[in-house]
Amino acid sequence: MANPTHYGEDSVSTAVLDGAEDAYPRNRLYVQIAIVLAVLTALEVMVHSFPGVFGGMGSPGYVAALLITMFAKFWAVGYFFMHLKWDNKVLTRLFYTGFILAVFVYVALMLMMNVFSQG
Amino acid sequence: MTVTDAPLELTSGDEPPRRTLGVFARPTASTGWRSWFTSVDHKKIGVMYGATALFFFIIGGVEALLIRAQLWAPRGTLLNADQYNQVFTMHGTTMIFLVVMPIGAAFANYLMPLQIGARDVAFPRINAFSFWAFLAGGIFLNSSWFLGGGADGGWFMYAPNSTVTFSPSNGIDFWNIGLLITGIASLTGAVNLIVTVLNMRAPGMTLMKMPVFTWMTLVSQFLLLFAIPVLTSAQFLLLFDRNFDAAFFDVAKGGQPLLWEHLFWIFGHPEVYLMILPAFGLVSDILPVFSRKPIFGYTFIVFSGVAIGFMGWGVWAHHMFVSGIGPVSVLVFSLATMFIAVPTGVKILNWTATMVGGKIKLTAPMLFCIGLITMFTIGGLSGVTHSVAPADTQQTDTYYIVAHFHYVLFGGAFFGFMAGFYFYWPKVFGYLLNEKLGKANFWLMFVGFNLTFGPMHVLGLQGMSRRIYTYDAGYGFEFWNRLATIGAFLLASSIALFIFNIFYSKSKAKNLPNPGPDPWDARTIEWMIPSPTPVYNFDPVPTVERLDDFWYRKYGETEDGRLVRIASTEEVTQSAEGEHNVHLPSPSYWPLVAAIGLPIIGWGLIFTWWLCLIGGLLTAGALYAWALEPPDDPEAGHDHHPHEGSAPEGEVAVSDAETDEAGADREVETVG
Amino acid sequence: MFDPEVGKGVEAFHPTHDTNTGISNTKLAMWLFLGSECLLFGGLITTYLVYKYPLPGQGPGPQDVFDIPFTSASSFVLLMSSLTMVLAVSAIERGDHHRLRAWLVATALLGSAFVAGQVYEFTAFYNEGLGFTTSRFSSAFYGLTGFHGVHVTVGIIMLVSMLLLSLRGKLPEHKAESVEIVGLYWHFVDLVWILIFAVVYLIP
Repeated sequence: MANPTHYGEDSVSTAVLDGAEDAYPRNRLYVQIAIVLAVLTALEVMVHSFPGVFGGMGSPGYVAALLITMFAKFWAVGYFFMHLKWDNKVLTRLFYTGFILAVFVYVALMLMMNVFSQG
Repeated sequence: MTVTDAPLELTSGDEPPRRTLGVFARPTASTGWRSWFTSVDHKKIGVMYGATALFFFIIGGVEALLIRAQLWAPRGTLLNADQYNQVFTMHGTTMIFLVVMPIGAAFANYLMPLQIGARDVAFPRINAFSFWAFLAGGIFLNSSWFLGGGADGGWFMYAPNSTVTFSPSNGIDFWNIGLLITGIASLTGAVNLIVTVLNMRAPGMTLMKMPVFTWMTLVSQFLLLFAIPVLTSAQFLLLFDRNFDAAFFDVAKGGQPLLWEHLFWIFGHPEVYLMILPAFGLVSDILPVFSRKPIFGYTFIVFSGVAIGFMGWGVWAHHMFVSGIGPVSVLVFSLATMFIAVPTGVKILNWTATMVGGKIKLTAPMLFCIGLITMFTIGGLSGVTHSVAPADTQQTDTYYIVAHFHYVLFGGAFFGFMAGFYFYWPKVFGYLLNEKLGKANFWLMFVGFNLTFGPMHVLGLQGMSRRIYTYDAGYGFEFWNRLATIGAFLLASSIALFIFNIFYSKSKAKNLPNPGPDPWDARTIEWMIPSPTPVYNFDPVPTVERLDDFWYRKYGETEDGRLVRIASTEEVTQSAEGEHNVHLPSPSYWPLVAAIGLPIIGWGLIFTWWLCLIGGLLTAGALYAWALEPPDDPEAGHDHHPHEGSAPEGEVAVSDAETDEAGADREVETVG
Repeated sequence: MFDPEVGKGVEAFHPTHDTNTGISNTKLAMWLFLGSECLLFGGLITTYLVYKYPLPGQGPGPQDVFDIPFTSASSFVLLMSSLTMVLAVSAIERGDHHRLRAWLVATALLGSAFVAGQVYEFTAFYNEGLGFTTSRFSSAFYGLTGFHGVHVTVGIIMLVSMLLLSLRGKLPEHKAESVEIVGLYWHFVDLVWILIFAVVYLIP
């Protein structure tokens, strides 16, 4: 760890850090993930623009395609950008406990209120 | 590494000494009335939670007595229908949100860090904020009495009764915003306590060596963590409906009152369990002490608590069997409700088995424990009758329901809290409560309780509706109502006796020696330390080897399994004598200031907008000042810091770590 | 649930290492809070799905007002702000304070662009006859997306606060975790928008 009295901009030579992306391989990964996320978003928009490919607007195939891309994006942001890949797995469990609990109770609620059968 | 002249970094990485924004000098008092306002000590905060909850208990109790007095005879005239609606709504709301939940929080705050051998909670200032926000919410809620009347929609505030059309007074706005504020308190408290249990246990204290109370606190705080936001989301809808003309529950615009019911009970049922679990934990820790046996089936007790925590999320619609949710839903929730009786039954069995064959000492706390087991069993059984949907259809909104939930919440949770009060009083205040008065207290409460709520079973099955402000003669209601009213006043007198006992025992205690660290010959490590608890809790922090660690420091077993004393209490307890240089988190004004802003925003939402601005600025400013203020005042209490002088950051000197090992420097601050 | 022995016996004084789990208190607290937020947003998303269609004759419905290309663009902006955020965290972990500030500014700007887009969208919808009180759909839609917008705004305030701290030299490397914590919040807000974009805008 750096000497605590010497932090701040003056102590860091930016010239040294110009090649830091290479020295810090996660950054490359982050950019790759961002590209994947962008592609997935583009896919979502494509699905919406050409719903016929998946069986028409609102059809099970259409909904499934969007839900899959949505969860893929959700997972990727959590796993890479929020560091769940590298952090203690306790954090993953705690967060997904909340998330899965939410999905469970609210889907049950919507089933009881006939949200999915409104058409 | 160089040694510099600049102020040294604290090892926690905090800022060099600096006055807090130059506004206030950092508070330093640790005694006197001022110290309570700025305290971040989990023990003081726990005591304040308890005292505040007992204060609100008296308010809620007076409301209960008003209800019972009104129902003393047919055609009662003490209250009119509107006043009656306000009184029962505020009674329920007060007892649940301002009494039972905070008493659970009081015990969690005071005891849990002691039971796990921590110096404080993970975020002492957030802890103080939780308390002040709770108090602010409670005051805000009750300010409605002076500002146009209380809420009148029943504690579960069903739509569309809760909309402006049907309740034009501001009462429900007070209810809504008040509970949003206490919700903030509960949520921050839950995060804080969970982090404390997960992160701050003493060396050797693995999860499965934790006392049951700590386990039940963990489970109930998880329930809070996930249940409060559901209520909050529902309350936002109500807030927008009432204050900004939204269409969430406006039936003319397709709003669905059923949505409120679902959201409320998704919160409401876990809420029921998070109120009872702390009491279960207290009983599980007290019973073994007075049975002189370890708890029967520790693992089962713990996992049945966790199971209750999970299953509690899958039974909410049993509150809605008559709402027209459809036969499939009724069937599913009916079955789930029957199943949740299983882990509860496991606990009853475990407690009974703990007492069987034990050397039972019938002290006041033990009596309250046994009271809980029996009364909760009755309440649990009437609960099972609700799970049978056809029967429940008949029972819904009758006094049978009122009887049921008072048996589980008063007979269950509150009896457990009374046991906890009598048991832990010496640890908290340094004197024992009078045993004779305590036993009288128990019997008076026991008789009063059963006389109040027992007859309600009969009334309910005879068809008397709850929340009806009066009834006609000739339906067979008179006798049972009269009995219940007598019981309610007996119950009130038992509370008066408890309060008398507090002051009586305190005055007598002046002439008595200190009860010592371990007056009950107890089992868990909080009894190792002097009574009342010193400000630094443990010094040194013990290393825990097994469940009931303290007991096994005192007792061993012979080869044929008999208990033998291996050490005297003096040998294994800690002394307050001598020097204790323990570095503790510093007090702060900001949690109090941040909490004061919240009800001001609330009054602003109801009355005039500019109050919102003042309250918002107060809270936001306090949060900023808080974030910029180091958790530990560098100017206080660093005389004996092990790293004073030479070691720069990174070269950690662990030699002197004993005094500091449990991490007074642990708190890392959030920024937001 | 997890191994309680994790982090045992570690004598180091650094706050991230002397906890039972080995996770710092602050980070654990933030994740617990985010787990709790799932149920808060879940309640509002559910409300929207229940109230998705206005009663006939009560103003426009979702298909009448939604501008998918525009919302796709603003979703993309928010998604990319997650990248700049994570690069800010990575910069301070390396002690690169210049890049930290640059990425913080970028993140805050992208976030502001998103909020500005939302304001534009709300104005456009309002001009098409969709007021907050028009129908159950409008209340649920504005309630949900507005609540998310408030979260983004709070995030921007936290980013700017971080930036100011850094400019005043009060954000040394050993406090890198506070940037990471703000980042967690920021990413979570993005996560919620990923759900809202698909469930509210794209799935009819």
